[in-house]
Amino acid sequence: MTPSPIFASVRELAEHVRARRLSPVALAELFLERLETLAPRYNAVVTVTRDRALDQARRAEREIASGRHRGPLHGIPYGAKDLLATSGGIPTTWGAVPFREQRFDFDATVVSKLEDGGAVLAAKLAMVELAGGMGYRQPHASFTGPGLSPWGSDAWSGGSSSGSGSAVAAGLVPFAIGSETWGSILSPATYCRITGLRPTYGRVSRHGAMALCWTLDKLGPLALSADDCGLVLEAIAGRDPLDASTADRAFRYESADRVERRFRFGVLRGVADEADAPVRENFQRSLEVLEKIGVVETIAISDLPYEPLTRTILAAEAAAAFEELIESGGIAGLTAPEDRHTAYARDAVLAKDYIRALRLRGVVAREIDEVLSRLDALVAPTARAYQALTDWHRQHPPIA
Amino acid sequence: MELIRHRYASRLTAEQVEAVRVTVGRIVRDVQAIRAVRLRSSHEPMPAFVPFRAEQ
Repeated sequence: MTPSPIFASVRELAEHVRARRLSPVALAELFLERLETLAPRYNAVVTVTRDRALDQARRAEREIASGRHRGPLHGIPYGAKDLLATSGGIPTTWGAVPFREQRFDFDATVVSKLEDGGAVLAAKLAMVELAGGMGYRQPHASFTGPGLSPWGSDAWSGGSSSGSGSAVAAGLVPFAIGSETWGSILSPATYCRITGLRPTYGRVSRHGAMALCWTLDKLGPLALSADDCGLVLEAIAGRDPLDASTADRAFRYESADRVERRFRFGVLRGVADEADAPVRENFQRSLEVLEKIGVVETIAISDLPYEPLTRTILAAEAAAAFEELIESGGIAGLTAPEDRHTAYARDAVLAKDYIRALRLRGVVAREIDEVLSRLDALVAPTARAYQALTDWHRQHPPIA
Repeated sequence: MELIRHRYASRLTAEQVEAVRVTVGRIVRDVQAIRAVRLRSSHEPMPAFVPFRAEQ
């Protein structure tokens, strides 16, 4: 008997689909029904793409029946953050009232790659307006309402990929695509208790994605497990002539060589000191698990202004990316009151300071590259707060 | 702040102007932090400028 597909991993679903124990059309119908009925509880969806999903699912069913199997995402439904361009008259709203009717006549490269892999686009998912680029400081910063975590009616989903987090956590889609400029994949993954993979810049094409900060924006998967994220990343990674920043380095998750040696993990000294007690306790338990497969060492890095330089780059590039909206006063139409004026302050960033930040970024990059040359990974809690209560976040601003 | 006030104050309430002033203060503190790091002229911006040539 085939188990329920809801909350099954992508890998499990793929095996059932490939063996024709699960019909892609039935799978699409199941998740479309959940998106249409349950997503409003979490303000998770902008548009359910029913027609496109069923077209893709029927094609997947025909291909698999004829013996053509495209890979582990063939026939698997997913949701895309609503900053990824989609053709066919589907709106791409960027979560913002001024762009509510925006439509594109092409698909973002990530959407095209997932289509090539046979995945089924079931929904455009809610997000913080303009991916948080106007400086939001509370959850109610989208025309779809505050994103809510399925784990509590008063718990924020995190952002800016709010719908990508809550839709996966609520079993509305098996996986989703989010974007991260500064924390926008990891934050909803954390507060929705799922897995987010924020790839290295340049690993995934940004073509067709809303630009917030050209040199910081990344696209990546959110799913129920790291394994599923690996499967999705393999499908969306790679060089794209339409995005000059993409790296010409192959990424193969499935065929990765087994590593027989013990891993080396680094933990920044004091990295969890200011976290809530449950976060600290869970982090300690996580380190104990990692110690079974590798060496965990405490490390230190140079005292450099990591956050100020990143904020400076983000402020300058976001001001340029949304210059027309800001200069025209169009930001007055945004949902969060603070998003209607914060961007005006960014005229205070001088060109020479932006360039200084870019020069300092080179120093930081070499420093971190040196640290990582001795390690397989740096390990840290993704948030200090145990639960992102909506009230809590009104007083403690998130970072997008 | 005067430039910002000149350009945008007409569309802002007094409360919003004050909020913008606070944000400018944060930007200034960030900039002071990055100016405090000594850089050599060989420290070029990252990403580096790459001359463009259309692919054949």
